[in-house]
This record gives sequence, structure tokens and C-alpha cells, in this order.
Amino acid sequence: MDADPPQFGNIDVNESDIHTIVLSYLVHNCFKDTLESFVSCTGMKQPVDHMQDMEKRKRIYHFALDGNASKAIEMTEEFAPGLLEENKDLHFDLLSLHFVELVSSHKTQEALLFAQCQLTDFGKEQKYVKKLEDFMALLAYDEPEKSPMFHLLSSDHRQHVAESLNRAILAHTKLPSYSAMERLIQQTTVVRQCLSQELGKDGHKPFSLKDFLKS
Amino acid sequence: MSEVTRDLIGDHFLDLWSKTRARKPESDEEEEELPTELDPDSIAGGFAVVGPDRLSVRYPNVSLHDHDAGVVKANHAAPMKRMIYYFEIFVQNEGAKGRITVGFTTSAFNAHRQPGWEESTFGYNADDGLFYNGQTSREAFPTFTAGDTVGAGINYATRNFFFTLNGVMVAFFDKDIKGPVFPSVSVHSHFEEVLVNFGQRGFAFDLKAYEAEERFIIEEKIGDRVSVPQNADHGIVRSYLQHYGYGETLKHLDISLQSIMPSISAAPEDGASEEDTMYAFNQRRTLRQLINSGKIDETFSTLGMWYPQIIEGDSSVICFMLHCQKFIELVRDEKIADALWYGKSELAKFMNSSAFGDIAKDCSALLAYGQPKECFVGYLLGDSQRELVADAVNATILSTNPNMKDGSLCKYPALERLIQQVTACSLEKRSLKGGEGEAFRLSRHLNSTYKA
Repeated sequence: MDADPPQFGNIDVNESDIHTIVLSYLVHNCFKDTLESFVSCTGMKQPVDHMQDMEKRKRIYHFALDGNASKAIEMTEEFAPGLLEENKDLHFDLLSLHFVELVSSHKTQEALLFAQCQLTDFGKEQKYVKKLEDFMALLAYDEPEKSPMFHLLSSDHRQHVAESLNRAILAHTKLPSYSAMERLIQQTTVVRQCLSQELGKDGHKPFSLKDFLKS
Repeated sequence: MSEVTRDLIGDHFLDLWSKTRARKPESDEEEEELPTELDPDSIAGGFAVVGPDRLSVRYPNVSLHDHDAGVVKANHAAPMKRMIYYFEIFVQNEGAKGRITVGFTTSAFNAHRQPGWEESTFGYNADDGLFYNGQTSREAFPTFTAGDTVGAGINYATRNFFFTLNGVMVAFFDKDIKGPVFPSVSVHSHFEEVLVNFGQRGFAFDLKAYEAEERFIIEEKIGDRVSVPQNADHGIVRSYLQHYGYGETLKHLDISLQSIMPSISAAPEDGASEEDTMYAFNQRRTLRQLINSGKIDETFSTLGMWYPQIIEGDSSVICFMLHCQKFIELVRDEKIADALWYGKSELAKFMNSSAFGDIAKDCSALLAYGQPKECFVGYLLGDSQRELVADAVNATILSTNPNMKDGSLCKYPALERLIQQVTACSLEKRSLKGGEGEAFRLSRHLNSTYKA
């Protein structure tokens, strides 16, 4: 391992800081029951203000995750008006989730109509053209899951869109869009990258979270 | 896992205990000396006079040669182990010619010239509004005179000098000067007088807001630069809960995770395997609960049943810590006679050891005080001490896992190791870059973004 164990082991980690990190993770992911359990086990103060919003964010997240984009869009417009107008990329991704749902259910006519109404407008901007082409190409396949664009139908992709939506909503409600846990991972990666650059080949290898967790 | 490794773990917790006793400062940032006043010894030839409070300077009333500026430096160099350093001056009297200059100089600086006159110095001049850095001046900025407050600062994150006028940022420049620099002021004509503020009074410039903005910019950059591996956070939080025995919370979390990732199981390649993090979960949890309720006798008997190897011989660190805790619990319950007896029969054998002696003495010191909670060893009676012992037992049980390849994993769950890693690497990075700037500090990072 490239880290120096005795040096690292000497750094004391404050328990209440750790609790803050876990709490931030739970709020970010809307894990309400887990949060209540954790708060009562540790004797922390429950973050009262965020609780109601968490329910709504959770439902929006699940709609997007399940591919029910129209419900997700509807709730988002209700809960965070103007958000989708401000986040065109996200809006496009959500609409295309709906499109993909229709394609997967073999509702080709409906899909085509939907695309023409809602998606082609985006084609006026160069950056969406390639994406549009990918999506439209799905229509050409009897078995879209066997096409080269099969990843657009995957649960990973839906998860990615659902997460982007969650971050946008958090930002909109003036909350941090990355949880403390995620920030910590980012900070570690960046500082390790800097160190690698400084030390050149004599120094640390590029940071891999996986390797670190295993080591 | 060998006896040796087990005691390495024990030693680690003993070490942690020693640190609590020593009450070390949280970081090296608190150890730097700060500029607090002007240093009259830094003036050469009497071309400036420092007031008795050492927070003001004026040009002596006697007419002096045009070339001789009166320069005075602060008593210490600007601290480097922080993001921003800043101080202000107030122009009390612009004097005959209003040639005040404020900025930074190095310790080697010749004190007859204004800051900025030589290359290793930087100054903002009242008279012409120019910034000087070794004869090169920059574009003209507002001049300043009596009644104005001028600030000079260093932003180590962006490597700039910056200047403010009456609470407003005026300019910033590359800081090419390496090494410590001293806040400096010069006066150069009859009756010029300047007051200096090293932070003892509030600043005209909203330094806190500026710091917050700069930190925010840095944070945003990190967010843009690096993506988070998907689902990495879940494993890390789970392993934290598993390490410390949060059974109920873990159950809820797993239910929630199931609902969002039914197809993605906790991928074993993403970290220590489930078997390892869940090893002896119930036993560890039970023992933690016993210790946290002060039931040390039961702890011993339960350990004897489940993990006799840990307390065999009654001489390991864990045994020592448990005996101490039993003693502490007796004092807590005010069973002084019992405590005395226990101390004689069980703790005495540890007293002579170099490793345990000092700590054991802390415990016996508890008996010396009528109000033990208020004395310097009062920390022993707190919940944190029970937690420490529980953590030590927890880690030692984890070390009995035959599959455990690396003993260091037993001491801290992944989440804590990640924090240690980022903190240590950040400190190393700073020392590679001349020791300037603020290193990562978890509490500061969380306070600026996450605490309600």
C-alpha cells in the first residue's frame, strides 16, 4: 500500500463530525427511517426543516428511477417550479426517459409522436443533436435492448438521471447538491491526484477508491 | 490473527487514550505566531516613531531627508498555514505629502525605503495609488488619504496579494515572493500618522465573507473536476454502521437500499467483503452495549465465553483497559472501598509497567478527589471513556476474524480511514508547496457547508 499507515493512524477523527457526514448522506438520499433510527441511536439533533421535503424528493427520485418520467416531471414542476427551465440538459434527459419507456413497451407510434412534440425542439441546439440521433435510432430496432444504444434503456442510466434530478432539486432548495460523503470522496481523489503530480513517478499511484477500500 | 497483531491494536487504543490525557491542540494551524503589534526595532535610523500601544506609527516631526522613508514591520511574519491573512491601517493624518505605503516586506528588507521599493516587497502607495513590487508599478488605483482604511492581505489559495480601500476590494496581484513576509507600513513626510489593526478590532472589509466566497469557489472546482463513483457512498456508510454495531439503523438502510438498487447487490469488489464487515456483528454489539452500561464484570465473563483468547493471561492491553474501566465504574457508583480493593488486587500489577503505569496512575488519582468529575482526570468518568474501551474491544474482536488479512482494518472503518487519508495527504501536499495555505480539516469543511 502506498499510504504510510502509522502516519495516517495518528489522525484523530471526531465522532460528531462522522455523524454529520452520515446524516448528510441520509438526507441526500431521503432515507427517512434510517435517519430517524440513526439520530435516536446517536442522540443527535434531528434536522427538522428538511424532513418534509425529503418525502417529496424521494417520490420524485423513485419515479425517475422507475422510468416514470412524466410523473417525475409533473412533481418536479410542482415542487420546484422553474427548475426544469433552468436545467435544460436535465429536462432533456427526463423527457428521453419517457421516450425510452415508450420504446421499451413497443409503443412505437406513441414514441415517435412524443419525440416530435417534445424532443425535436431541443435539436435546435447543437449539443442535443447527437443525443437525439441516438434516441431516434432506437426506433429502428425490433429489439432495442440489443441495439448499440442499449445502455439508454438500462437501470444504470435511469439511476444516473434520477440522481441528477435529485441534485438539481437540492440546489434549487439551497441545499448542498453533493452529500458530505460524496464531497469527502471527491476531496480525497483530488488531493491524491495533486500529490501524484507533485511527486511524479516516485510518489503515490493515482487514487482508486476501490483499491483504497480493499487495502 | 496473531497475538502480536492483537496487541498492536491494543497499543493503538492505548495511544489514543494517552492523547486524550495530553489534550493536544487540534491542528498545527494554532501553533503559528501571529502579528499583533508593530516592532519598533524593525525601524532603522529613527525615521518613524511607533506609539506606546505599538499600533500606530508616525513620521517624526523633524524634517528629514526626502529619501528616508520610515518603515516599520509587524512583530511576526504573516502566518502561512491558513487560506488568507489580512490586516488594515487607518490613515489618521496624511501629513505634508501623504506618502504612506502599506504592504509586505521580507525580514531582509532594508528599512529606509517604502515597501515595494525592492523586489522582495510589495506596497500600495497613498500618494499615487500605485502598487509597487521592486520598482515595477502597476496601473493606478485610487489614492488614499486621512480618514481612509486600507487593507492588505495574502490569499494563499490563489497565491495573491490583495488590497482593499474602505472595505472594498481594490486589486490583487500575483504573490511571487517566497517565504515569510511581514505586514509593513511606511511614512514619509511631516505629520503622517497611521493606526494599525491586526485583527484586535473589527475590519472595515468583510473578511469572513471573502473567506467563505473563496472556499466556496474552491469547493465548486473540486465538484466539477471529479465525479463520484456511483454507489460508492453506500458501501462506506454501511461498513461504518457495521463496524460500530448500529444494528437497527443498518436494517433500515438495507431496506432503503434494496428499494433503489434491487438489481445491484453490495458489490464485493467495492471494498471489504460483507463477511468481514459483518463479522461477529451481534457479539460486538452485545459487548459494546455491556461496556456502555458500565457492566464490566459481565463484559469479562462474556468475553471469556466467546473470545477467551483476548483476555487470556490477563496481561494484554484490553485486559488493562477493562480493569481500569471496572475501577472507574466503581468510583462512578461511589463505591470507594470496593474501588480501593479492586485497584489493589487488579490494577496494581499494571502500575509498574512502563506502558501502563502513567495511565493507571490517572485512574488511582480519581480516588484522591472529593469531586472527581471536576479534576483533571475527570474525563475518565465520561461516556467517551466507555466508548474508547468499547471501540478497543470491538477492534480486537474484529481481529479474531481468520479471514482478516490486514490488522489495520480492524481499528477504523473505511469512512474514518478515508478522512485520515484526505487529511494526511492534504498536509503532505501543503508541505510540498512551501507550507503555505490551509490543509483539509474535516470540521471546518463540514461547518461551511453541512452543519445546520
